[in-house]
Formats: sequence, structure tokens, C-alpha cells
Amino acid sequence: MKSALRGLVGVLAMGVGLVIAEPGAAQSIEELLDQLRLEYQSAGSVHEAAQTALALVDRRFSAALIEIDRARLAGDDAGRRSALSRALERSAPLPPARNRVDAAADSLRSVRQAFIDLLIRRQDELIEWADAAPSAQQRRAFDVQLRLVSIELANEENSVENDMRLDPVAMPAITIDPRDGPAEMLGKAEILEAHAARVDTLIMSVDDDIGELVRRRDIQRRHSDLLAGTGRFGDLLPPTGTTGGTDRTVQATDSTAAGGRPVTLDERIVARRVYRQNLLEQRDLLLVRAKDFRARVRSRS
Amino acid sequence: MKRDRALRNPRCAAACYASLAAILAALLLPHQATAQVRWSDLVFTMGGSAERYTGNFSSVTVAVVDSTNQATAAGGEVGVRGRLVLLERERQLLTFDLDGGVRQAAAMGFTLRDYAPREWVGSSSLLFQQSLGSWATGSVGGGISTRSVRDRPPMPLFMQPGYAIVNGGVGLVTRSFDGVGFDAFVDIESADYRAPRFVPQLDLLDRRVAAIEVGASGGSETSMIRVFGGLRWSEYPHQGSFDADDPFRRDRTVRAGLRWSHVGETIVRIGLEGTLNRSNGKRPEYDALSVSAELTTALPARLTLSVLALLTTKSYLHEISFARLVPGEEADNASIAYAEVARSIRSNLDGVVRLGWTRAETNVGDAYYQRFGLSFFFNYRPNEG
Repeated sequence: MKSALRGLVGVLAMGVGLVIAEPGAAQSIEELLDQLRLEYQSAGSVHEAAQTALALVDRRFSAALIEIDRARLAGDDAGRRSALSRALERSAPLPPARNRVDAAADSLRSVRQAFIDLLIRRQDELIEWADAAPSAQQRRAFDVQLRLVSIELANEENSVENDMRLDPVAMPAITIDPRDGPAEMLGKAEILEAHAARVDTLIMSVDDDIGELVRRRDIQRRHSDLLAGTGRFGDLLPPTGTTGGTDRTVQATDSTAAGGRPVTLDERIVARRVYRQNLLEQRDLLLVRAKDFRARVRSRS
Repeated sequence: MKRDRALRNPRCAAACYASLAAILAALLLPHQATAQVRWSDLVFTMGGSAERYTGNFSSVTVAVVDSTNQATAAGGEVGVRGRLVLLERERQLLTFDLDGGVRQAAAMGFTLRDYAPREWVGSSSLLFQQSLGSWATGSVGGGISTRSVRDRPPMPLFMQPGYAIVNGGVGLVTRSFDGVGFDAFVDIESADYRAPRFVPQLDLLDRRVAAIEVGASGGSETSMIRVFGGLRWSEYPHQGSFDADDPFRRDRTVRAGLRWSHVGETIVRIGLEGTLNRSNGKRPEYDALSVSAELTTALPARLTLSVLALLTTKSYLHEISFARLVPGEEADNASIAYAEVARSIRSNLDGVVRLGWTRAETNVGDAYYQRFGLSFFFNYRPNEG
């Protein structure tokens, strides 16, 4: 709705500009404005697409979290394990999706700022021209154009004030409707907090996972330390001439083979830590939104 | 002066430089180099030990003889080991392993004089692994190991002599077909014991080896059993066969065995290996059996217990009329046991107490040597914590 209004004002401004076309510098500012307006609209579309993609990824991840909760409450251990691995798999696209929204928002902000700067220059220019207009008819035409530019500028400056909307959020489907009363807003904040609690539970389970992997890695390291320490100076080779007992080749390594080379315990620990970081970010985003919702309730009352 | 003499010996110099290179590489290469080149596990070790040796065992390769049956030694050591991952792609891996160290002891209790043996060791190996389609991983690699001992004491304080070994090999490990994976390896090795002037008998240990080994393994991610068999051809260009038509010793060795491993929160490995050694001379023909066991498990109070045991026994095929002293293979059986308790002091520093026991025996005059040692170590991982 907002972007449609922005488009309409833009088209009107372009139309009026064409009617009272001035030669020289005025033409070039107008041309620049038209070009920037198109760039701005395009950046807006890219941002909107990134937001939609993030919302989809977020929804899939949220569904996995709910599955974990359900399986846990039902005491279904196998279901819980499979939901946990689904959540791990579905959390992977979250950071890149958030990064894309961030990048699109940055690009949109910089184009918008350039557009606002140019609108201000255009405003100044139109005021000058209106003052210097030789006829009342021309002055009125400049005034009309100035009004349209001013409306467009006010819209854009207003959008700067609501800048937070451009940032990536968790559970974007939950938004505040202007018709929402305090009870609805509090309800929505509670949904976000409940979801953050689910993420917290998942973080604890990932912590357990990391703890177990680290314990296994430490055991492996100490085992290697013993073999390296006794073998370094040849203490495992008394003068028998046989090589029995010194295993030379394929050992049962604690790793999982997934297509390519085996994944080591260290790599699995690093992957889990990245996952944990993603979950922390997701939880923080949920809590920030919930806090924002509660602040709005307080400010309305 | 002594140091100069030691470094003039090429083998000694190579071992010294190899261990220094390992230590310097570990110190100078950045611990978190780049995303492409990184240390996979870098460990510095420092510690000390007290050991007691008893026995009347004779070793052909030990130049000095002392009439004592008891000796003690106290010493310290520093070491470093690490794996440098040079290339890491989904289907390719190139690694460079380094291990080096120096051990200095003060050995006492001998009739003639006290000794101050110093061992320098260094080894490095390069291994390239490549996934071959979805069915196998191939590998090619090679390495160098060097060791030198200055002031090597007489028995019963047995120390491996110095050497330089170069080896290379190729391998293939298949993915699991119906729960069974297969592997095959071909290796070659050349060992040079370049004997100093007063210990010419060390040249007897020089050897060239070619070996092939095939194996099959099955099991789960954590528990696996591997059955293997292999052939090994060895030439000892300085050892006589006592056969005028074929004067130098050449051995053919058949090895077969199995190894069961469990790698989880406890590590257990049990191995059994049989060896049939046949030669162009009767003297070194024997059958041997080795049993090995390894265990590492967590104990309360953040302690870890590790145990390692290795038993080997040989049975010669032929009775011979003179004392059977095959250079470097004088023992008819050997038992080795280590037990150590490690505790984490900091996230990247472990303290370790280790007990070690070794006994080797021979049927010639019921000779034996036995070693009992108590050591303490610190293992420091600079890349952690």
C-alpha cells in the first residue's frame, strides 16, 4: 500500500515535470531524480524479495522447533532426534538469508538517502524558479510541482523514521496491526517469547552435544598423546624384529563419512558452535521483538 | 667439543636438524595460519622420568659392554608433534605431519663409568588423499625419520640405535559395500643405520623393504573390526645368510591379523597378529605372535586413564649349533605395558603421570632386560583455549 502510494506520487511528479519542462540544469536534476527513483524502486523490490525469502526460511525453522517440542512432550525420543537434525539442517539458511536482508537494507538506505538529497535540491530549485517566474500561470505550475516533491520528500523522511522495519527479524509473520489492542499485542509478545524459550531449549541441547563431542575429542587426544609419547623415542620397539602390534593403516576413526572425506570430531565441534551462534542470534532477535511489542503496549497505555 | 663431534656424524646431524626443524616449524608457523593452511593438532610436550633397568641381555648393536646387571637413569625430554593441513577440500586433503624431540638422561650404576645419553628424533611425512568417485579414497605419501643417540650406554639400558629411514607408499580405501570396506597398501622403505667408526655392527641393521597389505573392515561408526594380511620382502645388504650361493640375508614375511576398535567416550583397541618370517638362511626363520591392547577412558575428577600393552613371542623353526644373535632381533619375546593418568590443568594444558614396564627375554642363557619407569609430563596445545 505504502509503496503504491510512493509510486503514484512519483509518477505524478514525473508527469508535472514533463509538462513544465525547463531547459539546462533543471532537466538534468529531473533526469537524475527519475533515474534514482527507478533505482530506489528496484532496491525496494530486492529488499522485499529478501524479506520474503527470510520469512520462508524462518517459518521452516520455526516449524522444526515446534516439532522438537511436540516430540519432547510426547516422550518420542526418535522423533525428537529426527526433529533436532531437521532443525540443524533448517537453521543453516537463516544466517545467509538474514545477511541478504541486511545487504538489501543497506543498499536501499543508501539509495534512499541519495534520493532524499536530490529531492531537497529539487525543492530548492523549484522555490527559486517559482520566485523568479515571469507569469502567475508558470508560478502556479511550479507550486504544484513543489507540492508533489514535498509530499514525496515527507514520505521518504517518514520512512527513515521507521528504519527498523528494513532490518531482518525473526518470525516476521507476527506483526502489530494498527487495530491491535494491548491484549493482542501482549499475546503476540508472548508468542515470540515462547518461541525464544524453544530456541533456548535447543541451545541447551546443542550445548550437551558439544560437551559430548569435546569429551570424545579429549579422550582421543589423550590416547594419541600416549601413543606419540611412547613411540617418539622408540620405546615400543624392543629388539624382537617383528612389527606386530604397531598398527600402520586403517584405524576406526571417530568420524562420519558423508560423501567426500570423513568429517572429523573437530569439524563437527566447529559446525555445532556455528549452529549455536545462529540459534543465539535467532533467540535475541525474537526477544528484541517481544520487548518492542511490550514497549508499544506501555507507550499506548 | 663433544657437540661438534656429534654433529660431524651425518646421522646425528640429520636427527638433530630434523628435531630442531620440527620444533622451529611448530613455533614459527602461525598457529592459526589461514583458512587454507592450519594446524590440526599441535602439541608441545615437556617432562621428566626416573627409570630402573635390570638384566643380563646382550645386544649385537651395542658397542660397549658392562658387567653390571642394574642401572638407573633420570632424564628430561621435550617434544613437539603436529599435523599441518595444507590443502583441505571436500574431496582432497594434503597433510604434513611433524614429530620431533630430544631426550637427555643421566645413567648411573655401570661398572665402567656413568653415561649421559642424548637422543634426538625427528620425523616428517606428507600425505595426499583424494576421493575417487564415490567408491574409494586413494592416498600417496612419503616420509623421513631420523634418530641419533650420543653416548649410547651399554645393556641393560637398551636404547634404539640411530638411523635414517625414508619411506613412501600408496593406498586405497574403499567405501563400505554391504557393510564391508576394503583397503590395500603398498609401501617401500630404506633404513640406513650409518654406523660410526667404533660401532660397525650397526651397518648390519641396514635394510630395504617392500610390502603389500590388504584388509577388510566392517562395523559401525564407533566400533570396527579389520582383518588384514600382507607380504613383506626385506633385504639386509650387510647381513650374511651363511649360504655361499646367496650370501646376503633376504627375508619374506607373511603377516595376518585382526584389530578391533571401539572409539567413543571410551577407546578400546585389541589387536592380534601372526608373523611367518622366512629367509634365505636358517638363522632368522621364525613364527611370531603379537597381542596388543589399548584403552583410554574417563575417570572421575576430570582424570583420564590410558593403558597400553603389547606382547610378542617368537618361535624359531630351526635349531642351530651356535648362539642365535640376530642383529636387532635378539629378543625371543617382549612385553611392554604403559599406564598413564592425565588431568586437564587448563583447557589447553594436561598434566600426565605415566608408569612404564618393558621386559625382553631370549633363550640364549636365559638372558633378559627389564625396564621400569615413572614419568611426568605436560602436554600443551597452544591452539586451544
